[in-house]
Amino acid sequence: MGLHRKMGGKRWLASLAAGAAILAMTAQGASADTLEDVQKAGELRCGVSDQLAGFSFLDDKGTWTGFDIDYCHAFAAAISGDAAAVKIVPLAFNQSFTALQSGEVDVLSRSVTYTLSRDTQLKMDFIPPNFYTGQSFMAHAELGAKSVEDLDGASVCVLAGSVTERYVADYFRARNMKFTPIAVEQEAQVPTVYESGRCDVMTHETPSLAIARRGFKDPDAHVILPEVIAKSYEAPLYREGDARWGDVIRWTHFALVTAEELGITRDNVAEKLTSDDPVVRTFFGVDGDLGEQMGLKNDWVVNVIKAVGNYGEIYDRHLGADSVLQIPRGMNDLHERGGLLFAPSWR
Amino acid sequence: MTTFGDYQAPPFWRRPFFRRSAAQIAVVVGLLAVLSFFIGNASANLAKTSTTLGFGFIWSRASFELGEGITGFVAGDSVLAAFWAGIVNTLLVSLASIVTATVLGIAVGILRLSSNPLSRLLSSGYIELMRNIPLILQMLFWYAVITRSLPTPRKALSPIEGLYLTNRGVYFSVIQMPPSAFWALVALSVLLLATLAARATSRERTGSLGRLGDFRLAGAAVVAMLAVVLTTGSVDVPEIAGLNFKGGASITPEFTAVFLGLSIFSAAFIAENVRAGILGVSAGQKEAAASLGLRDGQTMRLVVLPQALKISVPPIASQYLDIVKNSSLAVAIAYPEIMRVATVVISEVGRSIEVIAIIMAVYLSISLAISALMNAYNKANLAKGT
Repeated sequence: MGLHRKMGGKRWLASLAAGAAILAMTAQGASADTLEDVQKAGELRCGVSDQLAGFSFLDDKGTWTGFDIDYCHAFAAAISGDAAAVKIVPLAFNQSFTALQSGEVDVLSRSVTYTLSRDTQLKMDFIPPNFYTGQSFMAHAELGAKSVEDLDGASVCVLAGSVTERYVADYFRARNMKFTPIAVEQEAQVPTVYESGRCDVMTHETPSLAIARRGFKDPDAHVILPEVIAKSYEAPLYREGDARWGDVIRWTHFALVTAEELGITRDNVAEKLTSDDPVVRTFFGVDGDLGEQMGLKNDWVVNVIKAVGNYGEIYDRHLGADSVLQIPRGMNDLHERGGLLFAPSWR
Repeated sequence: MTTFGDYQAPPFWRRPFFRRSAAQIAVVVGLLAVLSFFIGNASANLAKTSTTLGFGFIWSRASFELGEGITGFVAGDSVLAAFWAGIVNTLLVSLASIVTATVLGIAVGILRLSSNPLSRLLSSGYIELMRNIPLILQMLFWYAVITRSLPTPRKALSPIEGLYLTNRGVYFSVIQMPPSAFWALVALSVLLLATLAARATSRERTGSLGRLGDFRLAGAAVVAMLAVVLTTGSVDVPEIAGLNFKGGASITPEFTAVFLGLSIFSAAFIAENVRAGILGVSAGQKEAAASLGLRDGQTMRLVVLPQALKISVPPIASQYLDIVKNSSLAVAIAYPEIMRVATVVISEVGRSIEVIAIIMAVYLSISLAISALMNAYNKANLAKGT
């Protein structure tokens, strides 16, 4: 009997130890090298807005499409050469930072305004902005409001947790004006609640206001006020402390801009490949091994442009001339044409 | 030598003592393992992003507005003050809903057992409809009804003077008075309640003469209260100023929608608890009361309900807990309760683990307090005997 007890005790201990060992193994988080993880998984998990016309929305065929979605495809093409090797993860605004921090997505490609407070407090890094805009107000025309100065006491529909919510609070506080925020959780619900008459005005990024107004029953019953109360420069972001991964994200954006500067489009990329221009040859990885040094293929830029075209093509397709939205390039034009978009050189 | 024949002690694993302790140890070890896995995983991930935990952020300035609240929170106050405003809003809508749901639930529960077929039909229809539609849909429904059917402030409906119904809320006149007058009123109402309570407890012993003295005191208190209100109070009427009403008091559509949703939804469940309680009282009690000559209403009030409550209180207590927890759905219709504060703070400072710990602690405290109150009430009720 004594023997039984002894053996039983040991076996019990052994199984406990084995269990603990298994737990210890699984407890180790994913490695800090996102690029390697994504290449191993064969799929990029790209966090996007849950519904934002022009940027990220389901089209009538049930596929995700938009400006932010094309950036997801560009990243995927850069990493694996296959623009389709991406899983689009739609996220409500409030979830998206936590989703990135916890590793649920590898990169966020959604309209997130680049601010110092976010850069420092959220443990995430931004690449240079890929969409420049500002924040304004849209009001019911019957109010007769001509400017933001007329909005004292207004009920303001705003996206909960977004930077626009803080900008409007700052703006009213600085002018000693009062307002009541109606903080709506879902981005697509903000215009709906505003249109129902619950709010006097709605505030958001200027193009989103124009997009929302197009969808209203009577677009002429709403006016966008002239003031742009805050700049909103939006950029993709990734987890802090992963410089190699950050380089891939950052230089994919630069590749899209550079391609536009060099006049390289989805249609002419094949013929440009045979170019003698050393700048183009370096850009495409025909000369040198910059791509391999980044942990990518040497011809990653070619794959990106073949998949989505250059920055201007993406913009025109979803927001600009070729889209229903018809938002002028404005600040989102190349530096050489008076816009804010730039890209450093390849060497 | 004495032997016990073939008897052999059972192996240790078949002994009850071993089985009991082994099961308990296994559960504890399992729980610890799960806990350490989650803690280890979280700290590994935090270390990976070089994040440290800390609650210092609650002293930083909150750069957002909450809209409604009675704590006077404005943008620029501390994050702690924002949390407090959210907690107060959660408590406010929960308490209002608990009171209404209880009254409505008891009424519907009793009606469901009524001998009148129409009231039986109506109350069971209410219960089946309300408890089978998700709460969040009901809240969204009320919100849509209020914001879409009521006019804007400039075209406000005003059924009586000083009351305005709009899609920004209900505005009504209030009596304003200086703080000293307010505290005088509080003191007088305490006096009034005390005399009434004394009268109720000492009715049998003191007889009519004693009661007369109490009435004089109570009457004097009422007159004094009226005098205070009439001399110091002024009526604050809401008036349209600019885009919205100024003055008076208001109830927002968000509060109303959450309140209606929670009350009407939970009342259906409370009604079922009440019905179960009433059915749990043996039929003999009713028959006995009838044979003593009590009328139906008296039987219900004096005999059945006191006993039924003993059965119903524990499940009703868990309904109260549900109401508090369900109030977090209010974030979907922009009512600024604690979840709304939590989500905006998370997106501002990114301290999701700390913020979630805070709201878990808040809900836990509220729930434990309600549990303790309801348990105390139940104990006191049981102690009364039948």
